[in-house]
Amino acid sequence: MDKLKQQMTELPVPTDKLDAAILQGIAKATPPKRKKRGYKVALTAVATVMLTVSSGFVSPTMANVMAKVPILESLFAPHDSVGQKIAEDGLMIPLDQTLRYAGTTIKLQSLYFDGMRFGISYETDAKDVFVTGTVWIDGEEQHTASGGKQADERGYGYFYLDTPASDSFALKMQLKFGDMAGTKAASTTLKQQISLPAHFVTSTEPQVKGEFGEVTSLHHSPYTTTVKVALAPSYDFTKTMDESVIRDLRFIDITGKAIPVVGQFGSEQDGVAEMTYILATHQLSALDIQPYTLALPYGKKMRVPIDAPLPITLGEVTITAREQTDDEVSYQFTDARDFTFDHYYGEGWLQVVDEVGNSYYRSAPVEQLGKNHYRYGFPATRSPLYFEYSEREVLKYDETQRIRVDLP
Amino acid sequence: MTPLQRAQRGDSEAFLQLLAPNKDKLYRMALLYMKNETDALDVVQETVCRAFTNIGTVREERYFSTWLVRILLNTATEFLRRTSKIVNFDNRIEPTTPIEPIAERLDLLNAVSALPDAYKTVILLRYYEDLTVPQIAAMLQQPEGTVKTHLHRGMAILKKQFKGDDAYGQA
Repeated sequence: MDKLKQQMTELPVPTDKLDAAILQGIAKATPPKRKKRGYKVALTAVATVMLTVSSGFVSPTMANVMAKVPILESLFAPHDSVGQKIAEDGLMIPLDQTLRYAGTTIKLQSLYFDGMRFGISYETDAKDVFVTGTVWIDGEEQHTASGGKQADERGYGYFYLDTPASDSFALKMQLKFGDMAGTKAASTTLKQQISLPAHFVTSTEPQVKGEFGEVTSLHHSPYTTTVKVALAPSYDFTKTMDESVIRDLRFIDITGKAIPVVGQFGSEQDGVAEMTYILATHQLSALDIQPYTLALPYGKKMRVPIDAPLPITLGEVTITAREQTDDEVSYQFTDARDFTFDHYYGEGWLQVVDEVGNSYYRSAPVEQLGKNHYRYGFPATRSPLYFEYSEREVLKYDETQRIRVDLP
Repeated sequence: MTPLQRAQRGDSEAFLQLLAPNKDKLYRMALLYMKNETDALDVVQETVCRAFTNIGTVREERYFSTWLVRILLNTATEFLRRTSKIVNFDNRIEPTTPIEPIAERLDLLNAVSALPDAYKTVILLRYYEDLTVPQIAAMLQQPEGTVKTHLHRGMAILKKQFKGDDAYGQA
C-alpha cells in the first residue's frame, strides 16, 4: 500500500485556503483556560484572526471560505471602530520604524491605548503577519492576551491588559512580527511614555449576579467596556467537554441591539472560570447580559431563489425588502425569535449560496437595523443565487436570566 | 514549557506549531471523505476548532497527531450525516452536492475515496497513518475483529478493482 501514501502526498493542497480554514477554526474555538499568572493567551475572538482581505475586492474563493464563518465578516467592515475613533480624537501615537525578515517588510505606523488594550498598526507586503510580544508598565511585566488582524496591507496587533493602567505610565513593548509558525520573524522594542486624560478608565465592581454567574468588574473608558464575569459552575462553558454545544453571553444595549465584542478570553482563579469580554461601547449608560446556548451542528437546510417574490419566509426568517444598485444587492430581513442576534448573525444563520451550495460572500457584516431587523448586502452578480437558511432548533435562551448592568 | 503545555494554556501560536506538520494530512483525509474542496476545508476548520477547544485532554505530545485524526474522522462523519438532511424548496435545485473527482491519475485514491466509510477509515488509518490493528481498534472503540473484517473487505474491493496491479502489496 505504498502507492496509497504516494498518491496521498500527490494530492494537491490549497495551502492559502487551508491556512484560512485553520485560522477560522481557531477563531471559533472556546479558548483553553488561562492560568491567572504568568502565561500569555491568544484570543479566540475576531482579534486573533489574520487574513488577507483586499479592501476593494475580495476574491470569491477566499470570500466563500470566509462567508462560512460569520465571526470573520467583521474584517470586511470596521465594526471594531475603536481605533478609528481614537484616531479621530487625536490619541494615536505615531511610530516610524521599519522591520524586515525573509523578504518581508513591516512598517510600524501607530500605537494606541483604548483603556484595556494596546493596538499597534502596521503596513506590510506580506499576506499574513502574526504579532506577539510582552508588555511592561512602569517596569512590571503584564499578563496580557494578544491577537491581531490584517486587512490587505494593513494590520493591527493587540495586547489586552488584565487590569487597567493608570492615567500616566511608562510603556515598554517587546514585539515580534512573523509568520504563522514563528520561524521567520523580526523583533523590536518600543518605549513610550503614555499620558491619558484624567480618569480615562473608570473601574467598578458591580457584583451583579445572574444565573450564569457574577459580573465581578467593569472597566469603562470612552472607547471600550471590559466586563469580567465569574461563571457559575453550572454555566462554566470553559469546562464543558461537549463539543457540540456553544454556551456564551450576549451583550445588548438599551435599544435592544447587540453590542460588538472586540475581544474575549478566559482565565481561572481558585477553580472559578472568569471570562473577560471587551465591548466596543461609545456613550453607553447601561447594558444587558443575556446567556444563551446553541447546539451544533445545524439542523435542516432550506433554500429558495433570491429573486422569488417577497416576502420570503425561511424558518424563523422573513426577507421583506430588496434593494439593488449596480454593484450591490441588499435584503432586509427580520427574525421571529426574540433572541437578539449580533451583526454576525452567526447563530441565526441565513446565507446566500450558488447553485452547487457554495456560500456567496457578504460585502459587509449583517447590519443590525433594529432588535431583530437586519440588512444583508453582497456584490451584484448574474449568477443564480439562493437564500439558504439552516435551522437552529436548539437555540436556547431565557429572558428571565437577562440582567442589567449600569455603566459608570 | 512544551508547545503542548503552551497550547493548553490558550497559546494559539503554540497550537499552530503543533498543527503545522499535520495540516496537509488533515486536509487530504478530509477530502477523501467529503470529495470536494469546500467541504473538506469546512471539516478541517471544525476539526481545528474542536481540537483547540479540547486540547487540554491531550496527555502527551506524541499522541497529538492520532488524537487530531480521530477528531477529523468524527467531524467528517458528522458532516456527511448533516449533508443528507438538505431540504430544497425549489425543485430545480439538484439535492446533492456535486462530487469533484480527485485527479484521475490518482486512481487508488479515487477507489479508496469511493469505499464505504467504515472500510475507508480503517484503510487510511492502517496504510496512511501506519497504525496497528489494536491501535485502530482502540481509536475507533471497535473490537479488533471488526477492524480486521473492515480491512479485509475494503482491501478485497480494492483488489478486485485493481486486479493485476501489483502496487498494493499484501494487506
